[in-house]
Amino acid sequence: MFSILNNSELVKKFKKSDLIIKGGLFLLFFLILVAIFAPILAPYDPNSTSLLSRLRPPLGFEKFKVGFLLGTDELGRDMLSRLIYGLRFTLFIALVGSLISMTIGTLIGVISGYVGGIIDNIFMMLVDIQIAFPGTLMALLLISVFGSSITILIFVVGISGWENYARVVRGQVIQIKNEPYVSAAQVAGAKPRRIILLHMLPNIASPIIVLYTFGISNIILLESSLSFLGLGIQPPTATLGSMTGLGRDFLSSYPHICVLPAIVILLIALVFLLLGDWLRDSLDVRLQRK
Amino acid sequence: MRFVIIRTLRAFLTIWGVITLTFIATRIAGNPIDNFAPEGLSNEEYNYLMEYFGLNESYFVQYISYFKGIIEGNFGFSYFSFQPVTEVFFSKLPNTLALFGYAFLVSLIIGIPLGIYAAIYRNSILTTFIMALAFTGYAIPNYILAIFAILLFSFTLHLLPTVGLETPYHYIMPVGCLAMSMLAGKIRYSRSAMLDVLNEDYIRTARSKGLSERIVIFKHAFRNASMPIVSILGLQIAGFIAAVVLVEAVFAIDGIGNLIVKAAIFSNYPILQYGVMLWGSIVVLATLLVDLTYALLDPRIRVN
Repeated sequence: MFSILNNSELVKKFKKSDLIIKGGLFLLFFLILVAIFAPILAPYDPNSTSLLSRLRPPLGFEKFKVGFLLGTDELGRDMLSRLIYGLRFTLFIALVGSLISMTIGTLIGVISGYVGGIIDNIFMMLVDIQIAFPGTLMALLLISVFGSSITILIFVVGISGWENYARVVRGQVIQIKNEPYVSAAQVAGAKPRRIILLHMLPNIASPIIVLYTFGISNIILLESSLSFLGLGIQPPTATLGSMTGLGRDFLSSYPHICVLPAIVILLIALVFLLLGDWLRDSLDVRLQRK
Repeated sequence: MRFVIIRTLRAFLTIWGVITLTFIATRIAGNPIDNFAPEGLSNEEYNYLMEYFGLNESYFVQYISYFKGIIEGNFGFSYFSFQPVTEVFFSKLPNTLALFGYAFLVSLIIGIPLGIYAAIYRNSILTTFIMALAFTGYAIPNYILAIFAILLFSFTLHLLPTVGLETPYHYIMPVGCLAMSMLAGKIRYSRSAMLDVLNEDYIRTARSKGLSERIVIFKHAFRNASMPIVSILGLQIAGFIAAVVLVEAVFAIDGIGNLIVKAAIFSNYPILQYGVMLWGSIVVLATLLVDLTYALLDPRIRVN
């Protein structure tokens, strides 16, 4: 399944791609590195307050204080450190969350497509229900019931979006079920598990990878909007969404508190979107709607 | 006919599933009264509340009576104001509907012509610009767009008010932000629908008959492209609730979105249940309508 990642075709296509794509992928790489090395890179503890240096603007503005490159917030916490930790947090939730929805969705899609019959009907019914139940509403409902914690948040974003994988994977499995190599494996006496894992999944990996990339982007937006509404991780933990949401109150006089995290959310969601678009075109995947 | 019946049955089963899942979700974490009851509530008051909201019955009885209520048009009462949830919803509905209506209209009037233009003049500079606009609308979450808009139009240029919906000026930014996110989809879909149609044989025939380009585009191409466009309009409604929740939060608009968020924060389950049910039903019925219209117009679908 991961052979696709060191696909030499893909490397060739990358070398020929636009400047925007190249820039986007480098930015993505950079942001991921920043998130991984957050404890080393962040100049301060993201939650340590300093009343003497409250509400300082970023470099280049009046009242800038040396040492706080991007200024400080209403409690004197260093914006740069909070942004770095917020980014780390958001990326962690997004990567784990979309891994969960990918696993659930792929599993259901494969079973649905391979077994067919009444199981297929029941699973497709579940997909219909999930489509009628927008991710935001479901997240609001579950957070309201279970309270907000990291576990709940990962769970909530993890079960949103599985229906996309299920639908696409099911369609792909049905398409390749009657291919000669699958029949050959069946005739040779291979068990369904072996056929699915070794023969089918590698052949339908491309659309799954593309969906995963878009899924990350969607989950970043879902997580940050929940945090923005005050329903995500509670303060003082730095998350990009809650920084934007709480910074909204200071927008008129200290816009940097709100705008900086908003820009980071925008950038990170954008690079995953670009990556997804590019992967879809390069791997030549068609994500059919019906 | 068989198709219509099966499709309709499936739609109602889906709505039932949504209602049931919501019911289970709101009961799974225990008694909602414990979540919001003020401290020092006497036993009598507690029992009174339990009885008032029917929470002292077994889950099965609660479930049955909840369904009975839905059929009779009684959707429960808000845990805080004791008003029927329908009343609470309908008091907030006008603001949300106005926002949605204007945003939908604006995105329709701008989006579809731009999409058609982009399909016809594939290589013009304006098309590059249009597609960039579509990508921006798709990529920028509307609450971030709203923050930038407030910063620019209210705090820098001092042109527009930031919160509420009192005057027509108040509508400009929230409607603009909502329209922007709907615009992207409309441009992309109307462009691809037009592109599909423009490659058809009958367009070549129409052109070779010597018809003017205007008649070919509007009479032959657009009429055929309008079906997929209309179906997308129906399905766009589904994503709209997320957008409205956020835009109403940023601009502090007293509408359905804010109502649902507050209900989520304070565990006001009857409001949440009604919101989810209402939304789910709208989405399911919109999809059903689209599917049935398609089947009516395209016999191939009925057979499959």
